[in-house]
Parts: sequence; C-alpha cells; structure tokens
Amino acid sequence: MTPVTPEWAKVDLVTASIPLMVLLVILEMFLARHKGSRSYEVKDTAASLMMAVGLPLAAILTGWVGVAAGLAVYQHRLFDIGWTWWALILCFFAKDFTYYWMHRFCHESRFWWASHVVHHSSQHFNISTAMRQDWTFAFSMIFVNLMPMLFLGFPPAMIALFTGITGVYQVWIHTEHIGKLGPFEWFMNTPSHHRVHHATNPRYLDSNHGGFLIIWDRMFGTFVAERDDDPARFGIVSNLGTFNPLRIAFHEWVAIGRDLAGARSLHEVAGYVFGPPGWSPDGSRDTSASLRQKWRETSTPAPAE
Amino acid sequence: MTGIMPVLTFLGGSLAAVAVMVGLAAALGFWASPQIAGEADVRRLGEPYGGARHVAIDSSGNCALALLGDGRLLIARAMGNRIATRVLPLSAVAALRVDRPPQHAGIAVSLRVRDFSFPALQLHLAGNTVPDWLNGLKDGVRPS
Repeated sequence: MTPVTPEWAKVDLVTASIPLMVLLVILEMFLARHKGSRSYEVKDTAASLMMAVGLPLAAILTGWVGVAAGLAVYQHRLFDIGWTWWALILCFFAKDFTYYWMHRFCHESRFWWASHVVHHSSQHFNISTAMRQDWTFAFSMIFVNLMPMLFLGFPPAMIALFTGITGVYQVWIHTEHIGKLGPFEWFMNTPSHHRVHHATNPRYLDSNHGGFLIIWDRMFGTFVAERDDDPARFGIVSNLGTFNPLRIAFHEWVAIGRDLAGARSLHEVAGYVFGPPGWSPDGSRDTSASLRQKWRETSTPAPAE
Repeated sequence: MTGIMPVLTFLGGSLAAVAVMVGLAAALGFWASPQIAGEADVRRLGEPYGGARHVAIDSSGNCALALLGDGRLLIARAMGNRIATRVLPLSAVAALRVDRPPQHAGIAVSLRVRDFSFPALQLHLAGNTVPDWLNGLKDGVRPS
C-alpha cells in the first residue's frame, strides 16, 4: 500500500518558488549594475530564460516517461517506507547521493552531457543561468538516478519533495556576487564551489558535482576549491556561437548524430555516444582529461589551497 | 479545453516575466559591445594553432575569419562579452560565398560550417578587392 502523503508535502516547491527566482534575478541585476559588473548580458539572459520557459512544456510532453518508469519500479519495492522523521533524513541523504552520481555521469559521459551541456552553455554565471535547463532530460533518462530509491521503497512524493528542495536550493548558488561562506564551505554546496563547477579552467573541469552537500565530492575525489589566483572562466570548452534556444537545446545531439554518421565500428559508436565529451577515435579532440594533462605539462606547480 | 488553459496561463505568465527581466537587463545597460577590436585580437586567438596567416574582420567587429598556419580555419564571433571560436579543417566548411553587392561598398562574406552550435558567419569587409587568400579558400570548399 502506498503511504499517504501529508498535506504539507504536497506543495510543488519549484513552481511555488518561481516568484522568488524572478525576484532574485532582478535583485542581482541591480547589484551587478551597482558594482559595475558585466555578469549579465541581454541576449544571454533572454536565452537562459527562454530555456526555462520551454522546460515545463518539455516536462508535459516527455516527463511521463520518467513517471511511468518510476511507478513501475515502485510496484516492486523492497520495503514500505512511510513518512517518518528517520525516513525523511535518510531520503535527503540518499537523494543528494544519487544526485551527485547522476550529475557526475552528466559530465563524464556524452549521452548525458548532451542534455546537461545546456545548463553550462552560458558564458555568464548568474541566477538566470540557473534557469537555463535542458529539454531532453527524459530522452537521456536522467530519472534513472531515482530508481534505486524507489526500489528501496521511499515514497515517490517524498523523493519528489527532495528533488524539488535540491533544485530550488541550487538557484541562489549561481552567482558571482557571494564570496566564501566560512564553515559552510566544508559541507554545503556554495556559490564558490559552484563557480568552480561551471568553470572551464583546466584545473576546475569536472569537479564539484554535489547538489545540496559538497561532502560527496570530498569523499569521491572530485572536490576542487576556488582559488583567487585562478578566477573562473564560465561556459563550455567550445563555447556556443548562438543564443538561439533550439540550437542551445539540441546542438550536442546533432553533433552526436553527425559523429555516428561517420562512425566505422561499434567501438566508435560506443565512444561517440557514451565516451567522455570530446572523445574521438584518434584522440584529436580534447576531453577534460586531455585538457588537464596539457595544462599540467605547461603550468608551473602552485601550492594547493 | 480546461486542461490546456492552465498550461497556456502558465506559459503566458512565464513569457511576461521573461519580458520584464530581459527589459530590465536592457534598461540597466547590459548590452555587450563588440569584442573583436582589430587584427591583433584574431592573431592572438590563432597563436595556439601556429598563428594566423590571413585575417578578415567584419567591419562592425561582430565576427572574424582567419586562415591558420596549418591550413585550418579559425572562425570567431563576439558572443555576449566574450568571443566564441572554432578551429576547423576546410572540409568542415559547408558553404562559402564572397560577393560584392553593387549597391554597397565593401565585400560580403557568408560562411557556413557543419556545426549546429555555430550558425553562419556574415562578414562585411571594407574595401573593394576580394583578397586572393579568400578567393583561394572559396575554390577549396566542397559545398554540401
């Protein structure tokens, strides 16, 4: 029997938070203007926000795939976990843990990167960048990260609640205007950690994948601290030459299709689809690992922070 | 009908909010200025690839094209506050047109590459003579 969802947990956090997100964008724009910062640009902001407008439409058209898959798995759950205090705590950590791994895969395998690249494609880093979200999440099956929790028996509504909390939490950390936050930097994902995550500097590539907590990056070796002597350069390694939302949404899928058309073996097909972004049979393109390697070979070692 | 109305209302509200935020960004002066100020900028971009042999820059500074020392092309476009670039072999060029529009001074160059994330470059070059290297480039492109 599916446990009854308490009334307080039925709120759609993401939708309810939209007015707050709009307010944060407006406040950050005034702050940037006041400080003389170029952290906003009209066309870039318009592109990011149009991606946000398209997101619910994509969810309506394709989101049912994830919901159907999730409910099917939940039918075969191991335990009936109810809405208890210990289940809420456990669910928070389990959700953040699975988010870390899914997010890490999104950076380390092109199939998932093809969706997630959208979020990284702005050369700016501001609250509107948080809203630049992909429309192909159902196609890339990003929902698979929820399946182990559903199989264990966490109620779908509880998982949805913590998915919303993680999503809304991450809005405010997309800013250049907040520095380091003392002891919170040890365990929370903060603006500083997330600047590193969005940076293309070789030392910062593929790091800080945490959602709410940064402890998973510290545990699994992907944590990198922001350095004053290496300010983050935002965007992607091959920055887009367009603000067109359709090109932003689908460019990497089109690139995969082009590569597959020229693939000469199953090994190449697998590499182009599931290899790290930038993989090529002859190694002529750059991956995060090759960029880091080149950077190490050419830079003078600096003391770790 | 009742099912579609909340979606349309939400969509309308979202578009209105986007208009407010983008309008505010414009009112606060967050307009980008062209980043490609001159040939030196493009040559600097070409340095990691053996340097630029020839350079063509759009007269408004929006985009540029360079033939690199190793025979590849560098294309650059001012995007926001930065410059987005691609370095490509000639085989990646899908179309290249070089025209001298009779009604305008200068040369119009249109270059389309096989990269969905980088739409066609439209350069307006000062002068009335098409540089030899650009003509040579045109001859080497296999249209798709």
